[in-house]
Amino acid sequence: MADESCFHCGLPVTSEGNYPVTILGQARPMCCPGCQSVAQTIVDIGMESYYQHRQQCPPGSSPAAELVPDFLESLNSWDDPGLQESFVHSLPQGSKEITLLISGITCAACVWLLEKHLRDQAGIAQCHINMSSNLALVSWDPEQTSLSTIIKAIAHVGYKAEPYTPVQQEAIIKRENKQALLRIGVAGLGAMQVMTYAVSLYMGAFEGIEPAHQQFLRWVSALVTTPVFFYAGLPFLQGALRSLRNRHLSMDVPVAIALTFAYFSSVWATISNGPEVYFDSVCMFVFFLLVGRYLELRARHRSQSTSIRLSHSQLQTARKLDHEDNPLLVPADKLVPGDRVLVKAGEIIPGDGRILQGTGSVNESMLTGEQLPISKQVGDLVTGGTLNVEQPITVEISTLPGESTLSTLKRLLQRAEAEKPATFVLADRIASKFVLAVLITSICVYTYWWFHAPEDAFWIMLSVLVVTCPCALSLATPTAITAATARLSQMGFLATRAHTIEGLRHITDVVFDKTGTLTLGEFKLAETVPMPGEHSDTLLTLATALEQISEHPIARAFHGFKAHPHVKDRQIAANQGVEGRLAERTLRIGKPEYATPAGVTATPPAPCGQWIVLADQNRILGWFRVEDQLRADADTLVQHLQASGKRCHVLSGDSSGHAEEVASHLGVDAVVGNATPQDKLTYIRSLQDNGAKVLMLGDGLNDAPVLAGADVSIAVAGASDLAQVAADGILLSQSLQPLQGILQLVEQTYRIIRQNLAWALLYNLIALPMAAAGFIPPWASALGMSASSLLVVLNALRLNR
Amino acid sequence: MDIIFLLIPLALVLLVVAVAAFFWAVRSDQFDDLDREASRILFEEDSPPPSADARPSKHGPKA
Repeated sequence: MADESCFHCGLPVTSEGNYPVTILGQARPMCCPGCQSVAQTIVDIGMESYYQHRQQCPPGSSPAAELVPDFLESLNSWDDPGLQESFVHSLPQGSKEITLLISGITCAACVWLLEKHLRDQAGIAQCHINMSSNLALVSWDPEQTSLSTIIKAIAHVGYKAEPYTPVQQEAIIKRENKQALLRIGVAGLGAMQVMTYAVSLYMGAFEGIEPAHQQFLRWVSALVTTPVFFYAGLPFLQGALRSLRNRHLSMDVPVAIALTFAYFSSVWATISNGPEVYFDSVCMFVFFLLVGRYLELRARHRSQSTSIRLSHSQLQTARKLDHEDNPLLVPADKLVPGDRVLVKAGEIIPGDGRILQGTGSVNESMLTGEQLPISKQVGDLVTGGTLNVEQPITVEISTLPGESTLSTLKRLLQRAEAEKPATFVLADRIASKFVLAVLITSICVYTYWWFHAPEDAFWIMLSVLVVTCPCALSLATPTAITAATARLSQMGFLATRAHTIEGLRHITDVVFDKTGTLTLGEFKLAETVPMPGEHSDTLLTLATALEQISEHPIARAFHGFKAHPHVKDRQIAANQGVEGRLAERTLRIGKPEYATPAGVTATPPAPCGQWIVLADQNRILGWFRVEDQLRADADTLVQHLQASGKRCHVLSGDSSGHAEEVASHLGVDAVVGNATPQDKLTYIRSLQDNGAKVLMLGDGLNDAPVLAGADVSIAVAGASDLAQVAADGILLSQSLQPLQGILQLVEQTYRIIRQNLAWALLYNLIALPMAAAGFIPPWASALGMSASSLLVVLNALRLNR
Repeated sequence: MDIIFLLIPLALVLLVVAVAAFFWAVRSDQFDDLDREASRILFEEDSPPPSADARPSKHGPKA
């Protein structure tokens, strides 16, 4: 049965379980009870045709995880009015409205399924899902249904929904997008009109036209072109002004010069009855360029919004205790100093504070990179954003959310970002030389004709500027970058900054964070060493039985093995180990100093590695070695990178020596262990000072400033919010493998850009002398311009294959 | 051909109407979700349409 895949999610169906559901008249295999339940729901609500229309399977494993009772239970807290305050709007008629971020939407069939399913629920007044943004606007009648019921209904068909508050950046993106569309609309409609008048004028030039008609057509063209030039063309004019003010010739400069000259000379020709008008060229030019830029903008916005949503989706809640110690759910950003909060095991501590009650261990890997939890007693300070691992604690909040360690880190991040080295854009460099050449040529041409035929001088200079209008040149880079961005997101990489792709091309050094980036960030059992007379399988069942009750990262290495059935009275010693009883024996597992019976010396079987002890009250029974496992593809990736001449470095905040081990295993060029975020940033700065261009891969909060300081940075899947915001790109898959393909695609993109630029320059080199000699009439130059632009766009689209 | 003195201004009026319509469409979010509208026609609607007053919709009829 192993060759079968789940009809719902596409994962392989194992021989152990097959959970069939009859869909579209046939029994279909399912991989897990979760998929079975989702598929059955879909069939029961009469939407089997979802399976006919969908283009992609939903991402695997999510439905099963979401249907566990714990998850459904936790949803009930969403009905808490205090919590709802911050994201639920009350509508005038008494109904309520919320924006939900839905994960798992892959195609239009998902949207259809979800909308229909939600509309069939009692009490849902309205629901609209935007497929581009994966946001759903749902309004409901609080008398008939509740928010948790709605989220459960969504979970039942296999999607995950979270309350979502749009952030400011998104509003900006939306406004930019609309603004760009409006400009395109004006330019497009204007260009269509002006072209019809232009055709009449060209026909008139060949076959004769009454001066009154010609004059009228010119005036009308001028009227239509004016809003196109001043409204639709405004971004180019502003861009040119800005770049002149910065003393750097950008692509906007020749565009703006050509537009301005063409427009004003045409207006002058209309007033003074001159020989030529170029209104059609002005409109077409603005329209083509706007469309090119819009496509680029859209591709970039899409990646940006995805990353913004990824990083802002989680609403942090806290259990605030009132005077009678009753927990009350509140949003974490509403906490004030003096508030007491209860943090259960496995929950994130909502703010900086001091422990009032309970002893436990806290995983501070988000801050320090150290994967193992640190013991905390009553009175100890804890940091917001870190994870409480084992036992419930009560914390008294000591700082306002805006002044917490987390906010300080965010500020450090912003500073690093502001100091980020600027990446030069290839096209801009060529453009500034080209612009200079065109400007000088036009002046020369003008001077030449001034002496030979002064009455033609201005018009010929203008046709030089129009014919060399750098349309193809300015489209060459954006079109290729756009196509590449789209292709990259198919490959599981979101490029979130404009310069990401350009930056990736120049990379000389790749710096990896160890924990969570090169490794999975979870411990696995690597080795079992039984003492003489013991059997390793028995030891493992005993260890599993003990460790089962602990959520400590090391304990989790034992989860999933078969447990000994007779171990009783198990107790966790915070951050030390676990104790239990088997018949008359007292068993302990954990750190050597905790588990070893008094009077026995514990020597690990090997000096390096992370060893834990299993012992009874008399003697040591055996040793277990756990290690944080490398990602499966880290090896090949490092080899590939080194083969293509890039140096690899490993940085780690971990002090156990594991970083050095990993580094020597992978054969990287340099390694720094026990590094603070500041150390990491300094390390990267020193590389940059020696002329290196650094690509940084990281995941944790502690990596965020480093990610922001590197030339290009990539956050890996599952990275902390802050790391994702700081990075230039986000890897969406769990594997590092796409990185190879990404770097290859970047190379290919630049091949295409060079081809495009070469073609655009060639076209200009041929056209320019002819225009300077006065051979090219305006209609021919417009045609040449359009054809060369089209060629550039088609060439760029090859990247998407 | 003097008719163009009448026809072209008329066409310009239509142009203004078209631009105004486009502005209205963009501002009322009709271009927000281009991915979905492309495939919406593929899905049949077999549930009865909701009554107008029960499901007020500011995004236009989506059922």
